[in-house]
Amino acid sequence: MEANKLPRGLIVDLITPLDDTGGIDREGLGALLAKVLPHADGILLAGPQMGEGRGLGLHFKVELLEKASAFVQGKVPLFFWISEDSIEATKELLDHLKGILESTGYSGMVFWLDSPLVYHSNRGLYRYYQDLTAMTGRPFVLYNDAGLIKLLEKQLKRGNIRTDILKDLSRIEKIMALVFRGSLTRVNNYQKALNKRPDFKIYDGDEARFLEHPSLSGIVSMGANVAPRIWSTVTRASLGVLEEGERKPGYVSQIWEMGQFLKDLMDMYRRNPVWTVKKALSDLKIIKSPACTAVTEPFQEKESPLAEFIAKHHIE
Amino acid sequence: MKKGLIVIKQAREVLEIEAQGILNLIERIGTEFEQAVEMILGSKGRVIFTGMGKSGLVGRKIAATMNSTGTPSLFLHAADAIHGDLGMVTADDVVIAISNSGYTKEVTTIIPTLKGLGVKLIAFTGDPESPVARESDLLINVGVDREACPLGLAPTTSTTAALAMGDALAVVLINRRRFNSKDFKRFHPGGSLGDRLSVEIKEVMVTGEEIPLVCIGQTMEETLSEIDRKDLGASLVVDDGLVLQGVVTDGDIRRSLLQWGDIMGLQVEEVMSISPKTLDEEKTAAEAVALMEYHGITVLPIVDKAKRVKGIVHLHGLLGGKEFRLNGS
Repeated sequence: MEANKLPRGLIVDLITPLDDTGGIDREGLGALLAKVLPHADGILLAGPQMGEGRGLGLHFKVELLEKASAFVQGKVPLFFWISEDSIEATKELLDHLKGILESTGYSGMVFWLDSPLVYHSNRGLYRYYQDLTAMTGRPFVLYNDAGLIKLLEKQLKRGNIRTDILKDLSRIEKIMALVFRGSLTRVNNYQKALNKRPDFKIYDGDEARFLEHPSLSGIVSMGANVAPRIWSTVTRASLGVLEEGERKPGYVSQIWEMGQFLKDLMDMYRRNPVWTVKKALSDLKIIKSPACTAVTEPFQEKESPLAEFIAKHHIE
Repeated sequence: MKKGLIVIKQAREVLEIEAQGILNLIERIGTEFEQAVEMILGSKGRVIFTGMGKSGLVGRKIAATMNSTGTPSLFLHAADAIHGDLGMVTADDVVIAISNSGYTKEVTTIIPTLKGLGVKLIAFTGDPESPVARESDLLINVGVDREACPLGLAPTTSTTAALAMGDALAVVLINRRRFNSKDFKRFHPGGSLGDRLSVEIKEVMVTGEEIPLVCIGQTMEETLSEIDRKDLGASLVVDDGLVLQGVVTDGDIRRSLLQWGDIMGLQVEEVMSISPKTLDEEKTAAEAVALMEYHGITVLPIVDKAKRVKGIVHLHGLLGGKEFRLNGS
């Protein structure tokens, strides 16, 4: 297995393609991965936003990892969201996921993405992660999203990992990064707390924030499901790692226009990103169906303006 | 939100992000920084900064800071380096390559040549695994977590961080070299000169008992004694009412010696230059210097409207050759 090197750049928060029976749309998953892989630096599977991780059962998740890893074949790192409703369920899922990677002999990089506040309070988190990280040789990435915790209506819980707790957690070497959605002040405090871990990455989990003040670690992007090439170009420009050949005269204004374009795109899927993106991909015949899990709000619109927009602008 | 409030919010965010970028560097200062300081102090050559674009501009500024604080430094444009400017680099120099990404092509291109020259190389970069970092003898991590500019179109936090780290290096070198105020004046003649020449003459002129002064009728022996005592290379000559009658300078004395041989018994009015150039005390020191330079003289009597002597200034005193102090200080 390669050393666990975290990518810098574009991590695609992949939708989970379903067929009409609720199973994995295997062909759709392959087609979607074929579309995004050339432009992605990492793939997030079963994520709490686009991947509908909260609506997928244990066996479904195990199957998803098995199928996706077979397509990806180690070309880019995978991030898999492991958080369940309880400590026990999370550990059980992790155990199964670990098992499938071992049984398939997968040698690519896999990072376990975890939102601890979904099932655990801030108190005792350091000890919990000492225990959890000992279960597997693979590294962990934390996912902090107060909006997600609020959505779960767990009133007594804090929405964010406390800064001092994060500082403690950063002492655990296997915890290597954080995907962050929240205020600029909080992420600044987090960065301050992580000072002793210069290798620790903080990825933006909020596309609007990234386009405004880009994290130099990268972005976990929803829109990259439909516009991976543009997202990749904008991300690499923001990170200052565009290839020489891409810096043609006028490239700065092109990047600016691409950034504006991505904002327009975001406006189109902002209200219900999962359904809107799935519907567009379905209309474009990349996946079979816009079917969503129970955690995605039903949406009544039959047409997807996003698909038209993508087709009209020849978006890759 | 109102337009004005958005503007203020955005500006504050930018400052917050950039400030955080610098604060995050604090913990990164460690043994590598110490080694960089020792490497520069141990070098017999200069500190040469190189980079492209905004990083290049940062390099220029740090080089200027180093020069004015006692560390010989220069900037080498990475693109020009490829086309011949590498000739200015010697094996004794320390090169600091600034590239936030660590992949800047022009910088990576010149590294093999620099290594071939035996130059010590320090990387200022944000990516410890980049080619620039890997090829360097020392890495100073100036990485930041976030750029303040939308889409990172212009490097903002990253260049601020590199600049701040360069200042940290320059300041530490000042202290290690025991750079003092005398050295600072030596490297800042322009700055201190500007300051001293902007004042009025009355603030800097020699006054009272310190004015070299003789009266009409006194001998040259007495005049020479006065010139010697007051050490300005000249003496003013006045009447009983302190009205200026002339000036005797070292030059007048040399010419008189050539003409008459023994001049000790002569009266001062036989040797002095009459109608000397003068200024009033309200004029600036800069005007005094300009007048003296124009007429090729080194002392200038300062008089009032009635030509009564108020003081005297010496060119070297104003330009820094002699001790300079403000009257009353």
